[in-house]
Amino acid sequence: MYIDLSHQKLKVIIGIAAALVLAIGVFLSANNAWALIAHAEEKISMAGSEFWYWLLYRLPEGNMVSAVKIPDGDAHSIPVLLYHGEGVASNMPTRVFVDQMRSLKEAGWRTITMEQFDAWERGQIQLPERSFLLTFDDGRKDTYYQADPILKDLGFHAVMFVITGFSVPESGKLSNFYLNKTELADMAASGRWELESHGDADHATYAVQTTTDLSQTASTTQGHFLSNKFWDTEANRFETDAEFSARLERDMRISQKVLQDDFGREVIAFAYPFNDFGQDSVNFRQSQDILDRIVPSIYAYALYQTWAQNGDTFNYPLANNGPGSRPYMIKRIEPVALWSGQDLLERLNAGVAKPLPYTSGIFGPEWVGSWGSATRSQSGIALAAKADTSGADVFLNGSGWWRDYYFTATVQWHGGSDISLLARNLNDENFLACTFSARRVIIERHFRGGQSPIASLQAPLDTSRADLQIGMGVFGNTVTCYEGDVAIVSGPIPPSNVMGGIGIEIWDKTTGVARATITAVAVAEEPPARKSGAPARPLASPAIPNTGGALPLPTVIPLPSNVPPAVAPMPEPSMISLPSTTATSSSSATSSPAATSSIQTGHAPFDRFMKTHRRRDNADA
Amino acid sequence: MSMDRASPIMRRAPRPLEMGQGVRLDAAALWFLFFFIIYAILLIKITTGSYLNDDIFFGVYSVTITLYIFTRFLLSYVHRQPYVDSTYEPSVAFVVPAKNEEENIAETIRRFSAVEYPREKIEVIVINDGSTDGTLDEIQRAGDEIRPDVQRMEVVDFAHNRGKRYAMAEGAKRAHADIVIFVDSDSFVEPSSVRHLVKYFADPRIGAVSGHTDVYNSSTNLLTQMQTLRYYVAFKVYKAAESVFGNVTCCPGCCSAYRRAYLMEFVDEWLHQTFFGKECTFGDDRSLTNFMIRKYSAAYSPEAKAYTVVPEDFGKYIRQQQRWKKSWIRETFIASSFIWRKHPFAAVFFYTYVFLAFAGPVVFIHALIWNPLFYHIVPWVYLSGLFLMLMLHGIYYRIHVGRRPWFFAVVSFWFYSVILMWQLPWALVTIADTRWGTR
Repeated sequence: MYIDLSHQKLKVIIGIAAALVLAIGVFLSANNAWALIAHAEEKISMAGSEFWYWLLYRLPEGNMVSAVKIPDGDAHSIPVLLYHGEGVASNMPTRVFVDQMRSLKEAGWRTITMEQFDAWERGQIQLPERSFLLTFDDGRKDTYYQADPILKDLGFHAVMFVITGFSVPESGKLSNFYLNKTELADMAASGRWELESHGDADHATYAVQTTTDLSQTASTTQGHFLSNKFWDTEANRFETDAEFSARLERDMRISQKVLQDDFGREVIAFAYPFNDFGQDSVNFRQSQDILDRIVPSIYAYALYQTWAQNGDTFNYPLANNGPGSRPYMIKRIEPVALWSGQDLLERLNAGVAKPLPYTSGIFGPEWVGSWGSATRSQSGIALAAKADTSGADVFLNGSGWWRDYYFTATVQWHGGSDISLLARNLNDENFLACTFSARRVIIERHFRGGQSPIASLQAPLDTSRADLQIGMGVFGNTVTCYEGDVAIVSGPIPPSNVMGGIGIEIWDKTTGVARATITAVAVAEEPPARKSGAPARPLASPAIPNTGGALPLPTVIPLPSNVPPAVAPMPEPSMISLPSTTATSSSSATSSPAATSSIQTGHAPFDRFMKTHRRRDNADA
Repeated sequence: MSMDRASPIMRRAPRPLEMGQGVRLDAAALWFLFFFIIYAILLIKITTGSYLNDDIFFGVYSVTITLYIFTRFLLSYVHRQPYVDSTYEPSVAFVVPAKNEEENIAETIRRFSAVEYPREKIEVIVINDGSTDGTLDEIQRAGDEIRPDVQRMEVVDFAHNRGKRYAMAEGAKRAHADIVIFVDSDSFVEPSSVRHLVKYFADPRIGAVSGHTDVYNSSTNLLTQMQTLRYYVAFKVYKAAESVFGNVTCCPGCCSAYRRAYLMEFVDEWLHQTFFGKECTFGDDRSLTNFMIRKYSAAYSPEAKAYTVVPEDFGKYIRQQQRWKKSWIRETFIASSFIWRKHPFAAVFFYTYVFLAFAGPVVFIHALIWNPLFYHIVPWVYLSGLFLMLMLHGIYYRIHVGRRPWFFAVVSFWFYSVILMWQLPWALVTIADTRWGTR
């Protein structure tokens, strides 16, 4: 109606439209226009994040740290911390994260790079004490934008475990939640971040059948990619073991290749998605063994969140991990929002490698219970079986690197049939035990969920003594049990148990009965001086022949004359583990309700992983 | 697009003699900036196009609002006015409803004596709507002053307040003239405005013409500066764009002309208009226009200038906006039932705007509350996009009015847009509440 489309106006409109189209066309056809825009957006976001960090945390605090403690020794073990996202959309508020990072900085903790960690693990370099590796999983935007200003401010490094299927998908589709390629490239270029693999398609749940046994009725549930067999709809069957392995291998190789190709740096570490390295399998328990084979063939390190049953919370150099362990598996601690910076420090200090000789007068958080209840107090540590556990145990966090030592404990024994000292303890499946009872003393070896006797002696223990003093010595390939400072039984140590820390365990056939208080622990580098003057060391001389995997015969050790010589050879000496305990590992998965509830409170982050077996609750019941 | 700022009222406005070489260069630079912002917005929209795949609703909103605003500028640019035809001189009646307006009413009335139009064709009807102050005296005094300059001056006195709608209807009924020009009691018309309003009525399809209203008290504070910008752009761009298809949806009471013959067809229906069983108490101008465009057309005359006084404090401003939002919802609801029969372009733009208006708060909540809360996405894109769009309006304003405070007006426009986003949903919720609040 009232429209003026005169030539002059049309010319202006067409001219301006053409200029705009041309300008936009030129801009977009420039090779890196899109990247430039994405980059500009990201820079703006990061500037915003930095602004908020400074406004909310940096400026109110003034100078961040007063004095940073200077390390004066070398690190014997290194902790790895794990975070995911920070800020309002995650379960780690930025405020808490800042507090935790600052507390670490102030206390003299410093980050190392994955490269340094690798070199240290291989024994190529030394690192100062209070070094730690900071890791983040999932490659989330709220990690980068929230944490980077803090890292920058504190001079920290971090490792990001990227899910390539989400961050660098084949489709090129950009995510709102996961970091994209340009952001990852920025991170890598900043020198603060290293990128490692968190899988490609495996960080998602898939519909899986609850059993692969076709004779049973299966239902469908959500399961993990790496630990379950998929149904092959074309072939109308489950995938074979070979197909399963190929699928896993392919996924892990893809994420490694994508990261290496895109960011030009070697990728040596893999973090298990959902922290499942087979133990959470729904329909394929053997996945754990297959993963054990595939993962180390592709990655030098595989990271998982540790829990109490896995022993020490820090990592030792590769060479220190004896046979039977999975040296490439790196433990991680996941700090939670409930921990203040001081709480985190306390937990890290508890995990630091302890030097020898060691004396524990006050029992601190370095004493970790993984079964039953362990209550620490000024006077000692009270162990008690819970209503549904047959016993309780505790281990010294940070002792796992010890090799030869003499360990004594003063115990007030209130109830239960057995009390065991544990040495060369790596985790709850791998240790030596001197088990004392009213009837006998027995040396046992626990290995990968099985147990086998090494030597025993019918020797009644005076359990009525108020302060029972028992001891255990591990020197070279000989283990000896002591009452007071008198050696009473000795045996050979198989070559797989070359190192490990100390622990104490109590037990009774009936649940809820075993009870004891440990009032003192001392660990010396030398065995006790002999009272009788007879040479006691080395007690066991026969070198243990390497029999290629089979446990050598338990050797009856000739004991000194002041010790009753009643050493009873154990029956069936050639077996590696007792049949009943071998069954444990398979039956244990069903016992999780009881096992879960038996875990001490105070280790909340570990609780959800408590699906593993309780060795003796099931075995000896 | 130069502005004629010779008005005696706008003394603070820049003089045309400033338009030397420097000013032209200045304008060129501003136009460049104007199109550069369009360019930047287009680039952002194109390059962040992936949101279209992410969510169809937000994607469609984003594209639509951009196109909608750009087409407003485009349409306003091609808006054509009829020429003033000196042989077409219908008689006009100024109808001024007034309530408690003793400060401004005399000036409003005096302006009528100065209009450039044959005096024998001018009627003035002022309705005192039960004022409790000296308004009536002021009307009488000013009426006596101008009586020699007009054909007829009539004062209607309501003993009790009956409402603006009654006053307008009463004035329209009492008028004899062909064209009724409603003027608010706090608005002042320019001498040339009558001819520019009347020139449209030569076309028999035209039933109503909106004049151009600027803000009188623009330099009082930032709030009035901001409203000055809003008024200017709302008329110059948005009303002009509607006018292209003869589909102006609101000829505001400040200064708008209606063809009396058409008005009389529905004046009583309008007077007793109810919405969901309740008598409508505000949004009289929008609803009157709505009745008109059912059958006829409405246009906008950018050169028919008038000035109006706008709220100077925040509370009044919010209450005024709230009334406008409510009447907008009501009249849009009604208009939706027939606009589709009008010009197809006009209909498309109308329904597009309805969609945008209701989607706006949803997008706002999504960007400023939902995303930050659940995805921790800082709404930079939304806020800066909004700001760029308003900058576009601000530069347009600056180009046309010359050196006047504009940048902080844009900033406060942006600020008010953000903090007053709740108004439309709130108006929807409280639509049944027909009280005026304090005016």
